[in-house]
Amino acid sequence: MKYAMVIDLQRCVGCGACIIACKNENNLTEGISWSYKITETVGTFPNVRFHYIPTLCNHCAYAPCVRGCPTRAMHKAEGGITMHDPNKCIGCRYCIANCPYGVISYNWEEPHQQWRQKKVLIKDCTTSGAEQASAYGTPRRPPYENPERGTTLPAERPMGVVEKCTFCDHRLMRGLLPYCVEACPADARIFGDLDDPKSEVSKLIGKYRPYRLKEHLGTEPKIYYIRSFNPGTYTQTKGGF
Amino acid sequence: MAASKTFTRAWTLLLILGLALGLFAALTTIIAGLGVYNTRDVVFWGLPMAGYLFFGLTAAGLTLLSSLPTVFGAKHLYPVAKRAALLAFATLLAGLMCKGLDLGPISTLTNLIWIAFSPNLTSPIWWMAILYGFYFAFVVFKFLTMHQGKWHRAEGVFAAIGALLLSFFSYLSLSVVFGTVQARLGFFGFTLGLYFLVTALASGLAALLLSSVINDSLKAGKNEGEIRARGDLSLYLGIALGATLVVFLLRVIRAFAAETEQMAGFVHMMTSLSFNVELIAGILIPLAILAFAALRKNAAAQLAAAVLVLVGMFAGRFEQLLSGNVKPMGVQAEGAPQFIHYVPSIYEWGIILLVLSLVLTIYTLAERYLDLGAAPEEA
Amino acid sequence: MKKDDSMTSAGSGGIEISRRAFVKSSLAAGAVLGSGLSLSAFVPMKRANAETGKQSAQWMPAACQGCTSWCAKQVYVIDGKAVKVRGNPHSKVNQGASCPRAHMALQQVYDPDRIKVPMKRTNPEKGRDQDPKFVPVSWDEALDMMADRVMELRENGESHKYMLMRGRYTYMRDILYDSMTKIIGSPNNISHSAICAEGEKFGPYYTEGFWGYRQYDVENTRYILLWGADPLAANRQVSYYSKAWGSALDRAKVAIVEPRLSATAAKADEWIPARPGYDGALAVAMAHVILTEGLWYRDFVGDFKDGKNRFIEGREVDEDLFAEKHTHGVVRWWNLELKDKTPQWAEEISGVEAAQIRRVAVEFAQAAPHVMSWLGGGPVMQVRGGYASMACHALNGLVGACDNLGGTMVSNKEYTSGFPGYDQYLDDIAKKGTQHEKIDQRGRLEFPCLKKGKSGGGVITNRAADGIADEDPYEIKMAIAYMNNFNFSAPQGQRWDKALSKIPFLVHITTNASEFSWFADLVLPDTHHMFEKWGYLKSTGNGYRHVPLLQPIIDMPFDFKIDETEIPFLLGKKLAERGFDNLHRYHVEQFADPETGKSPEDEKQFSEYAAKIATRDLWDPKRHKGGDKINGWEEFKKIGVWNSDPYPYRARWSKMKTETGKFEFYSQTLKTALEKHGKKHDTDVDHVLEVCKYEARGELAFVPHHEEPYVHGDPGEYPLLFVDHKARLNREGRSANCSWYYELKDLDPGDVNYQDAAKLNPKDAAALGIEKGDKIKIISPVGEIECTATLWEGVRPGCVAKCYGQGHWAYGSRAAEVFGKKPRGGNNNYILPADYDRLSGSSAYYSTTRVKIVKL
Repeated sequence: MKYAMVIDLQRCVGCGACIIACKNENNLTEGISWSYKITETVGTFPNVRFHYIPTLCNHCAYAPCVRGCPTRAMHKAEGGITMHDPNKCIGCRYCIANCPYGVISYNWEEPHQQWRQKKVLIKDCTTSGAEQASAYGTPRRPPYENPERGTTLPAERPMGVVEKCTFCDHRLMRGLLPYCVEACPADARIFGDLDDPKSEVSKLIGKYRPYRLKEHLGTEPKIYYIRSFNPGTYTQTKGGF
Repeated sequence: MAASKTFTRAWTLLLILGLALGLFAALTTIIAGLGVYNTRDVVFWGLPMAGYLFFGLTAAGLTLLSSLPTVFGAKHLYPVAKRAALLAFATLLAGLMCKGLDLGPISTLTNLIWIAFSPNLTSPIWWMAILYGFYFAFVVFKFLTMHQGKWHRAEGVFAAIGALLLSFFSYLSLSVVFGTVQARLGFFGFTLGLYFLVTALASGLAALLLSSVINDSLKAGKNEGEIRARGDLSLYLGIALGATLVVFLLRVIRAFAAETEQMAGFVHMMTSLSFNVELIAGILIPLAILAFAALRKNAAAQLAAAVLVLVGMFAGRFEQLLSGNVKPMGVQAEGAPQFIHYVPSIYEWGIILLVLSLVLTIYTLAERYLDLGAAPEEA
Repeated sequence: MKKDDSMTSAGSGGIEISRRAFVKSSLAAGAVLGSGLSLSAFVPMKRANAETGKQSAQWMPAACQGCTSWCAKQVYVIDGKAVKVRGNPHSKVNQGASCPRAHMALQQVYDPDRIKVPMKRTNPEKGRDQDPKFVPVSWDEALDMMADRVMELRENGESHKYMLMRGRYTYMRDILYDSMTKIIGSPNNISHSAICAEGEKFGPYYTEGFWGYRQYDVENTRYILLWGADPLAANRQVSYYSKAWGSALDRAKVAIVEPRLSATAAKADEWIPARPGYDGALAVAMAHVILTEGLWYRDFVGDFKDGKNRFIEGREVDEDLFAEKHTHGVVRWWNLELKDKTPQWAEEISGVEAAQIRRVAVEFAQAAPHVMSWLGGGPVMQVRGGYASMACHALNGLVGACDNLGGTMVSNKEYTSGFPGYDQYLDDIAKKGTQHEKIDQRGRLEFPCLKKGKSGGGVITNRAADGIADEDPYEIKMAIAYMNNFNFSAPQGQRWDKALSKIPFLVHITTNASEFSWFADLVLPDTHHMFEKWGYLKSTGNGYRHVPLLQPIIDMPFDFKIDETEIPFLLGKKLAERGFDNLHRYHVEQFADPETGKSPEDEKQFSEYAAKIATRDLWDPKRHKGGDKINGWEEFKKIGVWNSDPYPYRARWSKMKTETGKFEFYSQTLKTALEKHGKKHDTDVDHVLEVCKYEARGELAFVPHHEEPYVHGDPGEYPLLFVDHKARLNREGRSANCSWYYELKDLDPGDVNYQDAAKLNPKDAAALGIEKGDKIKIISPVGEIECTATLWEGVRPGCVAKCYGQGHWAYGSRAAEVFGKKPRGGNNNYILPADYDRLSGSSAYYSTTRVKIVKL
């Protein structure tokens, strides 16, 4: 089993549903996104293009974050998932130093602080974060907290440790796709097993010339990008002066 | 001690104040977490980490200096060897505290037990933790043997050689921590090992020189041996600074020769205060002072050079860290400015204040009670 | 690997996932995944066990009203709490797809700043700078206050001085908006529609007789020519188009006309950054090219009788030489407007190269008829936008795209029935009261609002502010408003501050204390539509129409009440207590459970029965008329959505609801409407057009044509044109208290996270000495706002583009910089002048004002 994801940039509409869905599924606190994007506007008016590349942990076969972690808190799990165990994390952030992709985040503060606050807008008339959280039975956490995340990680990671994408390992073990894949309205994310030549990911990688981020570093990422975000056509030309 | 009562009192008060403020910062950090720092996911290592590098590497330099007489028979350094050993202990403790206070709140610190129970042999940080642990033990052990006057007994020599080797390996592991970060060439890869070596020597020498000058000025009777030793230390410092300049220039040239995006952080740092303090105050001016034989023997010049070198080296550690992480990498660059403007928070300065006050307190107490000028029995 | 559909199938009911099962599976997995994981698996388990023991988790059907797409959704409910949102796979419109903003409904329903109890104003002074000093009151007391006021108005013969303002609604609206207003005795039910999209409906209505939102058949199209819409980000059917776009690109070429590089333009072959307000010019120039090149679609438009193309630049054509098929007036259109409208002519005024105009027109027409000219709000929600609406839409007629495969389509049939009539409950006071002129002044000479061909047929929402403030035609003494925020969302919203201050008794039903609430005497805590409310919606897309059902599906520890059903029911009871029982009798006599015949005993039963009644023909198998067959109410509640039959292509050719039955290039329908309006005011069409600010005179008024944009602000003093647009994460204007909104503001190309950024072309910025991140003030002739500047090549030089959505000074602790005092960012509507496309009644948002920028 070798999990991998193909991202079809032509299907991607750059909407960010994956980012929000991930934050939702994994109870990410404000400021942390496991799934994110790299955008770029190139050209000069009126010849301008906007580019968008969805990103997440690349679950590298040769993961520098795993190699460098002193306590094996960052480790390789089944299917090649680069997994993190916050209970072993000493907070040294060497994984952040080592990750060429910038997809690991450290919890600098207590997560979800909004839900601890007692301040109200209008006295006796509006709720507070703390009041909502306790009324819904989720003290200090968002009422929309996803408890299912808690099956393999603390549902919210505490202050002082790093966190990152797990390919939704808690869903994979129940036979479900990573939530960003399910939530993508455009079906731009295709997930599967590279070891299975019949899997959709294997087929797509065989069909298009995929590329991966910073391939020259030799990390062997498991996120493959195919096709182009911009479909633009142009009139045939040889150029000239 | 010849120091006046007023001076002693003021100094004591200052140390207590420093310790108290520093302790407040440290306790806040341990309880509230690193959110009180201004480091974030882009500049993930900042001032406390710079403190770790500075004190840790200074300790390495001091260990070497304290071992020269016992291990290599450089007997002209006997008068400063014990002081060097003490300072090595104090600065190493300071460095390790900086690192510890850069990990996280108490809940994170308790996870340090996994260094023992879940070792990762491919991790430079793991090796660093282990080596620095043993290194610290040997530094303590070594000072004790010296204090008991057992410089040349078996345990004394064992401690000295052990401490020397461990200082070397732990310094090496520190270099590897940065050297293997393939993603951040701004840390200068293994070139950094060379830079760490020469600057560790320079800061060790400067620390020792500084303490010796101050100690001398506060003491009634002059120790001729120590004065002579200082002249030698000054010369060594000059040489170390010369070497530092060479490696420093190599870094600069390398950044321009390979104008990769990865070096942009370092190029950006060239206009920073820390870079210029490092180069001008830390290397060029003291080098100029120490180039003159007469000044090398002048206590005021020695003092000035030593202080400048220490300040410059501290700035250099800061600069080196930021060179590797001031430029957002990968996804972090999305929506971020080209370079992060990082100014340490008062809590980060508080940590530095704490460990600096601690070093000075240990040194002050040791100077008073532990006879740091002692030389071995057969000297 | 299977999709997460284990809990979706209609009849599956709830699936109970016991915590023990979770532990077991995670332990097993932990063993497989290695030592690293098993340890961490224990930690959260302890907590979950202690707290809940057992959890029920289920995907429950719902619907999203974050924008007007109105997608069918499912909500993952665990232990009574909404945890996740996804598209309802049973919908044939959005087909399980879910845009990003849908997820943010979670942050809305669990907004820490929600109003938890009814609250009463204690400060009698009203104004922007007057703290209302709200105090909590019981529902009982609140309803008593309302009932007393209604009784007072009726007793004084002033029932028409009651007013109902509607914001976001479901089709349950009729209970509160229509019947309650009428039974009380007022004509004043004012909707938000004219600040929504009426201009967009104008063109299609006066060409093909359809007043509504079109569907665009992107999966079967060969060319998408899109005017000022941003379907991948803002509107409409964002989920569906997001799903279909990648495949559409495989087959179709896409050209986007828009002054800024929109999210959709980023996914197009061509971006045509025309000067704002010149879409109509481009459209007629393209029509010119299509005709002169002989590329019109003959099976729809017909041909010259001898097959020889006489459409030659500058030359009039004899109408008799052309035999039209399913269209009306193509030659007259050519003679009146198109013959001189060359691409060169358009280049000079629109700033788009003639070659590009020609190329797009030719490629578009060559791909006919499976092409579409897609009309968005940008070109039409303008002062003279009605004619641009016609011009852009008329291209669909030339290429036969109207009602065709891969083209533009109208709505499929649906079979909801609405609610029983209430005529018998209108007493004399009510009958008299409803005869008064409406407060929005619709139908006056200068406000024709020709919805569906009728003078005064449509609303002119934003004009109601002037009606109230000027007491013209009369004063308003009591108003109820729900899920609206007109002083924030309507152009020149400051006018509403003044108007609302004048209303002696204003009730606002809302989830958050908004800018509108600030002026209210009573604020009632509303349910959140997606999770806490009964209702149903209708919308179209992908060649289908669906009717999603809204239901209360989560625990509600606070006493929120449903705006459209529970509150009218409770008020009806209170009125009955005071001797006026018509409303209550209407509710209990006419809203019996269609299955048991039982009358509703309380507001909760009433709500569900009402939903049952209106949708009965969808779920009652005995009354099935078409579309999905659903076996009873319980099954409908589980599936949550009904789908129509597929779209019948070309069924409307020559059967259109225009006067001629044809696709009208010469709009006989508009001619009649305008003449009727003129007649009503004893004047002619030219005079109507003059007072309504249009340029056309004579016959030109009845064909699609270009009019110079009418823009406020002297170009000398105000050098930049303001381009308003909608953000990807806007849930209407209600996202501003959600953290995800700010964290991901830059999902809008060119925008900046945590900022309300005005986007300037670097050239303009350099000239103004403005740098990225500078704090600036944007000043228009009617107001000024503060925000930050950002530099972006994706904006046409001469324009400044900014998202609508921020600039709240109320609404919540995150939405406002200082609640009640200082806005966070700037609200575009404070600089947009209140002006209108008067033919449609639509408020003007685009190419409406010039601005100047001052660096702070």
